[in-house]
Amino acid sequence: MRQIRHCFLYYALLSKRFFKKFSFIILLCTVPLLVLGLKNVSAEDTGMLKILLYAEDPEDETVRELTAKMLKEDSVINYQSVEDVDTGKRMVARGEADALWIFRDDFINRAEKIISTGRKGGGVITVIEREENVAMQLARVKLFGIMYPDLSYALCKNFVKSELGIEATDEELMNYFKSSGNEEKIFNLELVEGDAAGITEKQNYLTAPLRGMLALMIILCGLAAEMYYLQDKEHGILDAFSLRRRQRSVYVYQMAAMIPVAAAIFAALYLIRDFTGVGRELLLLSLYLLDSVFFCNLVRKLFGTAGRLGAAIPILILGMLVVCPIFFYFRNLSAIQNLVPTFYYLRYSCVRLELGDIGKMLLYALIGGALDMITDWFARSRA
Amino acid sequence: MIMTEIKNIKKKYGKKIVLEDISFSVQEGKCVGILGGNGCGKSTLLSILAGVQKADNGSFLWEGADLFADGKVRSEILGYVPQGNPLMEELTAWDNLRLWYDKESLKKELEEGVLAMLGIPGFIRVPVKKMSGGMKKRLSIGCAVANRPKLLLLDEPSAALDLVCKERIGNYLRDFKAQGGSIILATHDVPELELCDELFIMKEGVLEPYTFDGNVHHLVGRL
Amino acid sequence: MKKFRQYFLAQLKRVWKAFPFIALMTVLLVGCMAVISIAMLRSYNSSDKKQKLEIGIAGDTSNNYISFGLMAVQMLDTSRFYVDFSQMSEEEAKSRLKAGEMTAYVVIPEGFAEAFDAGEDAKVTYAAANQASGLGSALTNEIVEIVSNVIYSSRTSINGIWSFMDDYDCPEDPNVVSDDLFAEFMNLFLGRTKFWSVNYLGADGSLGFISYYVIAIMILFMLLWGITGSSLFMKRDVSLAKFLKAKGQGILLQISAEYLAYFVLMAGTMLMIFMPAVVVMAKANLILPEWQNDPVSQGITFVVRMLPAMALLAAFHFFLYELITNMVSGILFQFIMGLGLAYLSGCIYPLSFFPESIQRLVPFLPSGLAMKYGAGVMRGVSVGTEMAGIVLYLALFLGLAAIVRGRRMKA
Repeated sequence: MRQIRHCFLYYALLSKRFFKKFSFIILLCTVPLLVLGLKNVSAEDTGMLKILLYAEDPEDETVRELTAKMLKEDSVINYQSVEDVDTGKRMVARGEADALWIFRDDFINRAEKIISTGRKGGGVITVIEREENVAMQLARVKLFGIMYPDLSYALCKNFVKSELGIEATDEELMNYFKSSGNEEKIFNLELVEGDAAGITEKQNYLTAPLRGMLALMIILCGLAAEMYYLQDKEHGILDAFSLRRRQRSVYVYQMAAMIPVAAAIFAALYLIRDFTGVGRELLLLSLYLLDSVFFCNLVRKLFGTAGRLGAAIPILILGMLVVCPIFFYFRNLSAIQNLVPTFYYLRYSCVRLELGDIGKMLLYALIGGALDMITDWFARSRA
Repeated sequence: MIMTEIKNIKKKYGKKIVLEDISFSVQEGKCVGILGGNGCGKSTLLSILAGVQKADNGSFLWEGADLFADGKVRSEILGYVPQGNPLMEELTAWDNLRLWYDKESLKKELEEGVLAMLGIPGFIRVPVKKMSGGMKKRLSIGCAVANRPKLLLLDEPSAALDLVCKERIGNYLRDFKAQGGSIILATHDVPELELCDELFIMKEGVLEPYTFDGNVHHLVGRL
Repeated sequence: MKKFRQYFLAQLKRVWKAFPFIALMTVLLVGCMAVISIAMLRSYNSSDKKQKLEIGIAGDTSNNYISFGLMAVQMLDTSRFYVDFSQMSEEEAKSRLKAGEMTAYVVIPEGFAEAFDAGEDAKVTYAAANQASGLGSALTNEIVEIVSNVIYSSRTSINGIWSFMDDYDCPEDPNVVSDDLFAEFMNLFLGRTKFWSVNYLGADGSLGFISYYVIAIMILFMLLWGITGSSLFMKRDVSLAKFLKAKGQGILLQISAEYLAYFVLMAGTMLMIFMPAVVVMAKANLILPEWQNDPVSQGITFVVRMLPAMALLAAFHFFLYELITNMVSGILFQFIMGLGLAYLSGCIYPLSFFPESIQRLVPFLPSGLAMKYGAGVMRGVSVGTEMAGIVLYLALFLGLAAIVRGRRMKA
């Protein structure tokens, strides 16, 4: 009982040390503010690609419909119409846009000719790009998807004429073959277990990495607390404690640093609506904190001194940015991913939390804790 | 007879008056001790005299030259040892000293000069972070006197040191005085009071002369 | 000058003591990351599936339209690189999605085929994880939209041909005709590239994708590297600063000497990493368009010419060290500022992904300026404006650091 009281007292004193620093308070306030700022920014018009649209014949009905559809669409591709080809080319050359799509005149007749003859003959769209890459290919696939209703109509028109030998007018054919492309979608999008996860708002691709970046802050906080602990040890602040107590006191350092930061992150997630419910978030965050404590402890023991740990931190962070599904998700790295608590936290933050998942995070803590204790025991036996 | 004169030094932090009309003088070869409780302004006074901070008012004269105005002269004649240890922890004593001494004079001082007197050759190659408090303080003094100052400003030089160390430093300071150097010493330490030719007590920013009768209780009562 | 030189040399010595370990750590860990990246790339290149995003299919896919849709997407060059479909049960799909082994899964309900063929409103559920890798999900959603358009239009046409033949009393067998039409749709899809002609302007006016990311990774690394110097340069005790001032070494002189020592440390480490990286790139035939003539020498020249950008970011770190002396806050601040600036400046997602307001602001941020400078150097254009900006920022950060130190000394 006395020991527990002592522990809480030490926690309170360490927390006081942190909170006496104005910089720490500023840091805690900065996190939700920055996150909110980014959320507001992401609500503006954004897109992975910027494609310029130009119609050689502005009166072409088909082209007007196509471009109107693109300009109205909510997509990762940002479409913008442009007044003339030269302006569009200049913008592409300067990197202000990714591509220029020039819809040629007499669009539908050209399409029909391609379909009937099977020959390209210049195509119906001239695409101007700086360089070829996967994003451009995707954009062209999307273009094809958008044009598909008109192309399939042209194909049917040609088919009816060539295979069935029937000459029918457009008015007649449209009733049978023309799909507007605006019909209800075949695919009903669901966020898997999103209801169970409590997620109601799908994250914009700009704000989607925020949870991961904030999660990394917890690890960083833990590592910084380890450095603080090492410095205090060096300065003899912990000399009054027994060796065992000195070893255990590192947990108090970590909690004193991590808990306020976790609270700031909790607030930040709520602000950006990447929030899955108080109870669920608290549970996940607590498990993550526990796992992070042991992870950071083991990292500290690996590097030994504050200087070495400080040198290693940026590389560790960079590594975790790659390994954890923050910006990109690489599935071939599971061997390394399973060693990083951030990976578990991010994986379970967007699905139904089951007993098995909680068990895995607790198992991580158990293994980490056991390794921690074993290494401490070795240190004590050598001392 | 060179005299150092401190006249009407004032310092305020916001509305709080830290130093109020501080005036005294130090003769050549003499030591002035300033006693006072923690936070009374001793360190502030010394840092002002050292040129680290600026006074709101007052003058600091040495041989008639205003040391507040002439930083070059000030840095030539002053040696300042602040409360903490102004050393680079990662480097050795030698490296720290090399910042202030050229190689030849450093070797000479280590062999038979002031550094030898402070016992620094015994730990010349030890990194500062591995030194004891006494070693660090002696090294700090060694760094401070590199320019062969005429006036030493010492802020609690013996704080947290063992007796042997205190004795060593005391011997050095006595020698410094004997060679004509002046000392202004902020102290809590009773043995250091014996070094001082004149004592003042700093209380609420005001300096009052004091004569130590050997009774510590009386002294504490005055503080 | 002598005093400055002495103090600078002392700081350099300090930094030199820490350099071997810092350099070793950096090289080791960057090496590990390089090994992982190479292993990953190799595994992607050697795989037949070339999958990046795996989508599970649960349910009956025997319906022609579904098969067509899936086949069409699989035949897309892009999506072959992006998407691979795998047949499985819904339970397996759910658990694999949860395990992060898939990006999404599609559930085709029972009776879908009949309902769809009959022209009824039949829906297929597409379930995705709202995972942090939002970019992957966003791309998958785009592909799903395309598939939806293709399938729906095809169905309209196939259903239309039945009605048309019925209304026009066509003698042909509607089954045969609809199959023929279906085949035409497949040909249409396979021959989609006939509908456009692509002209490439070349990357003369701007950077190519890989060149852009070479600079971005450099800047990101440099920004995060600021944490490394924390234990060396974050100091609470101002005794030495006071001592130096008393000795006639003013604050600006102190700051300059310390900053230069830090810059030497940073530049030394960066050159140690990036120069070999350039050689490795050349050996791996990863040649940037800007370095076509002589990849190694041009690459090394580029790295050396990036020193002003390193100086800028070093000044930024130095200012933060001076501002925040508490270890925990300091490291966290370095991280937030470093990663935050890197993210906004387009070091992770290209700058074009961000709204116009951010794109306009970024060139004025230190990281954005460093990117702009790097882009200019890479393209071989004049970087006078950027250099002026760098000099201004240097003066600003070092000036602010001096002000902060002065206040700390007075406190």
